[in-house]
Amino acid sequence: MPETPPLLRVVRLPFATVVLPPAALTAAPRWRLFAGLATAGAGGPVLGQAVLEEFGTLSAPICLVPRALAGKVYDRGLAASYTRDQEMGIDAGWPPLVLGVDLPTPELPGDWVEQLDRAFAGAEASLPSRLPVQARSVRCGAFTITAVRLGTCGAVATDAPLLPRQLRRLGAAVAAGWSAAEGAGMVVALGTASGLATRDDGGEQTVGFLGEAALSRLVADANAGGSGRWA
Amino acid sequence: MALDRRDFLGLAALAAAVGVTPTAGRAALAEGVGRRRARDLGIILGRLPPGTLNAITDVPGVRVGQVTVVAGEGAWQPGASPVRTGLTAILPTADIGSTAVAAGLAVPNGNGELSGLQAIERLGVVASPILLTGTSHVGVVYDAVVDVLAEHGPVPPTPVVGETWDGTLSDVAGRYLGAEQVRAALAAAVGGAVAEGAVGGGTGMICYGFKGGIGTASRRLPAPLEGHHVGVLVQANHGRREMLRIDGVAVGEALADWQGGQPPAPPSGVNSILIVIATDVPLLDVELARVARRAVHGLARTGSISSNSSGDFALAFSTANAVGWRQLLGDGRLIWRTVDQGAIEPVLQATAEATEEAIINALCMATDMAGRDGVLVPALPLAEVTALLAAHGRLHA
Repeated sequence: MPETPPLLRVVRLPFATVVLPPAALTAAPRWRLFAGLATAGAGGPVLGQAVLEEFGTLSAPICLVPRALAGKVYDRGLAASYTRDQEMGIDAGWPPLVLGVDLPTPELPGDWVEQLDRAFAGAEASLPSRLPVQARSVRCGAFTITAVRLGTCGAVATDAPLLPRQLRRLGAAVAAGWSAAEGAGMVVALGTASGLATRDDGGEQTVGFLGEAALSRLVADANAGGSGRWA
Repeated sequence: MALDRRDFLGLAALAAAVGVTPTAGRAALAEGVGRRRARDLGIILGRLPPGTLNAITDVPGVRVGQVTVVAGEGAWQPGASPVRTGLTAILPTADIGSTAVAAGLAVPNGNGELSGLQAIERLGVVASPILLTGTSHVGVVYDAVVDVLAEHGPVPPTPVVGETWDGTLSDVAGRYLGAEQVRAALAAAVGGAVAEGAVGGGTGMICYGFKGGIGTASRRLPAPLEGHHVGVLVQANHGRREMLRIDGVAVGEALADWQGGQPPAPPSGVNSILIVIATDVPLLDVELARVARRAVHGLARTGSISSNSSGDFALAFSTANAVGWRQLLGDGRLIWRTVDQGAIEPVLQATAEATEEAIINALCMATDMAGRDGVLVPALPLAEVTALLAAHGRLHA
C-alpha cells in the first residue's frame, strides 16, 4: 500500500505523544469529530473515556503517555481546555483523552507544562523523544487510514464517513492487530469526515455514514496483515 | 406487513374461536369497570404536556397491535390451563422489515431476554417489529417473526422480541402464541389510542404487587423541538408492593397489606419491565442510547431499583432517521439527521416523565385478574390511591 498524507498531526514530546486532527478541523473553537474507543483485552487506564462514550465525539487532543504520567497530563489538559472554553460545555473544551501505556516513566523536563500547552495548541514541533512512537498512513480503497501507536495503544483516523459505533469497529480491528502478540490494546478511532458543528438553535445537521458492506471492507483492510501493517 | 383486511378478519375469527382477542388500538381501550388513566384521576406527573393521545402513537407513524389470550381457570394444568398471556407489537414504521430506524439501548438489569441486542448495538438500528410477550413465548414469537421478516428479502433483520414473566397467573408450560397470533397482532397494528392494562403482552403481568401490564404515555416537546414528540410504551411486571411510589407518595407502603398484600412471587424473585421509547426527533444511535438511559429515571420515580432478578430493558428509536434495510447493509453512503446535543435536554426529560406515567397508567388501567391455582391479583385500588395522593396534596383537579 502506498504511503499517503496523514490525517493526524503527531507531536512527539520526551514524555508524551500528543495526537491531533488536521489543523483545518480544529480551527473552530468548538470543533467536534465522531470518535469511538475500542479495547482488546483488559485495556489500560483511559481518562476522558466516559465523555467519549457518552457522546461519541471528540473535542480535544489525544495523549499517549506512560501510565504513571497519565494524571499529570490529564490535569494539564483540563487547564488548557478551561482556557479554551471557560464554560466547558458538553461539546467543547473537554479534557484530552489520555491513554496510559505500560512503559517506563521518563523524566519530566523543567518546561514540560509549556511543552504540553504548545502541543495542545498544535503549535509545538516534535522534540527528541525516546518513546517508541510509530506512525503510518495508508490508503484503503477509497479512504485513508492513519495510525499512531505507542506500545499497544494508539489513535486511528480515517476520512471514511463513519458513525461512532462504526469507528469503534475500525479501532477494534486495529487494536486486535496490535495486541495479538503483546497483550491488551486500546485504540481511539476518529473520523475526519464526520464532524458536528455546534449550534445553539437546536437546528438539524446531516451526517453521512457508510453502509455495512463498505464498512466491513474497510475494517478488513485495516486488520489485514496484523500489527505488521502498521509498523 | 403483507396481510390485508380480509386476512386479518379471517385470523380474528380463528382467534375468537380459541379465546384470543386481537386488539386494535382504537377498538378497545381497556376501559374496565372503574378504571381510568392517571391524568383522568388527577395524577399529573412531570412538567411537560402530553401529546394528543398521551400514547406512544403520538409519534407519527408508530403503530401498536395486541393479541390477548385468556382461557381456563383454577388449578394449574401444565401445558393446558389456565392461560393469561398475549403479545404486543410495536411497529416503528409502516414498512418495518424493509426499513430500519436508528435505535439505542439501555439495560439497567439484564436478567431477561430482549432478542436482537447484538444487531441493535452493532448496527445502531431496529429493523423488526418490536414484540413484547411472556417469557415462555419468546422462542415461538421470535420464530414467527423470522418468517414474517423473511418475506422482505433474503437477508432479513433480527427479530426484536422481549419478555417478562407471566407464570404467576398463566400456564408457562404450554404454548398459546404462534405464527397466527403474531401475524394477527401485526395486522391489527394501528395508530390512535392504545389499549392498556391486562392486554397484549401485559395480560398476565404483575407490577408492584398489583395487576400490571401495558401502559403508555407521551410528551410534546418545547422549543427548539416544538412539533416533536416522545412516546413510551411499557410492559410492566416489576417491583414489590412496598416499593411503589406515585408522584413521590409512598403508596405501596400505605397499601402493603391491602387485600392480603404482595401476591406470590416467582421462584426467582421480582420480575421485569420492558420500556420502548419512540421519538420523531432526529437522533443518531449514540444519542438514542442516551435517551434510553433516561427511561431508568422514570422507572426509578415509581420506586423500582431494577432488582437483582429483574430483566429491565429500554429501547429507544427515532422515526426521523430511517434507512432501507438493504441500503444499510450495502456499499453506499447514507444520510441521517441529528440535532445539536445542547437541544436534547427536553427529549431526556420527556423520556423520564413519559416512562413514569406509562407505568402508572398500566397500574391504573389494569383490572383484577384471577389465574393459575386461583391466585387473585388485585388491580391498584384507585379510590384508596387518589385519597392518599389528595392527603399529600398531589392530586390535581
